[in-house]
Amino acid sequence: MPDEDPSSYLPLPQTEFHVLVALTAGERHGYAIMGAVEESSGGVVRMGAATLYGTLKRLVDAGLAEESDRRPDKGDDQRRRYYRLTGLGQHVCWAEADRLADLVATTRTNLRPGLA
Amino acid sequence: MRNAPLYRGLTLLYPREFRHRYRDDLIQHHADLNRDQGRAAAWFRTGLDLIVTIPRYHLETAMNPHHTTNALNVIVAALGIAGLMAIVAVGPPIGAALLVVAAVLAISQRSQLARAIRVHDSDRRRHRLKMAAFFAVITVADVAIGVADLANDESWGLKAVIYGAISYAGAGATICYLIAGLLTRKSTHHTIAEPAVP
Repeated sequence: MPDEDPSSYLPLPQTEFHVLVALTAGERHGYAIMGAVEESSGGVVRMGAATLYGTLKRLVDAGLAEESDRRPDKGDDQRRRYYRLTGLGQHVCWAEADRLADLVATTRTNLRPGLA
Repeated sequence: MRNAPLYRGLTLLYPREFRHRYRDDLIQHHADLNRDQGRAAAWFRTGLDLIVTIPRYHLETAMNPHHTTNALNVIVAALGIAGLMAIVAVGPPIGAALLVVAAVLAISQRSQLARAIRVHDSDRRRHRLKMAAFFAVITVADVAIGVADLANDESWGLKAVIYGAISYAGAGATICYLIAGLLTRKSTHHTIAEPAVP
């Protein structure tokens, strides 16, 4: 049973946060998620297939993501499965983004006190 | 897709549950990588992924709380019974040592037990109460058979130890399952309100 308090999921592991961020743009299948993660991280985060699906499994089991009913377009492989954020997943993603934003603000304040 | 049979075979190295759920996706993903990045790049990434994830997912499966708890329960019960039998057959020091080890393991399990009895699941409640009833029947039957058997036998010894061990283990299991079952909530339907997007 997923915990409803978003803060109880924080801090999120890096790969899980990247996958959640990729799903904020809408429903995606695994390969598209991998591409989106690479793009959003500037190529720094490059996940293999099993790493990606292991991450998706943890997110689905935790209630942060779910399989959607959307089916692939014609011409694409019909076995593809699409994933999307749940309401809880959106909240957790926001909470993690806020946490990281606070961290960034603190870092900027401490390192450049005159410019804060 | 010449690489598909090899990668398909390698996916058999993953734990069964993960394989059952994602094998087709993994193979599709590998085929997509082959198509978009070429064979060498796809295999380089896949090879690293296999090396990292196969042991990791097996470890995660082995460390699954359900599996770990079951294995520890069996070990505690076996050590307890062996300890009782050793007290009579070999001598108190060895038997007592085994019982102490069993007790330490059982106490170290208390966090798992605490988590287990808080689960909201009527199926688990029913299962635990059924198990309590099952062990109660075993215990009563063991005591009845033991009393009848030992009443006609002047040389007790090992027989009495075996009957005693079974009845103690059965009574302990009955109590544990009964408490866990009674403390497990009946309701399984626990709706999470859909939160508004911030």
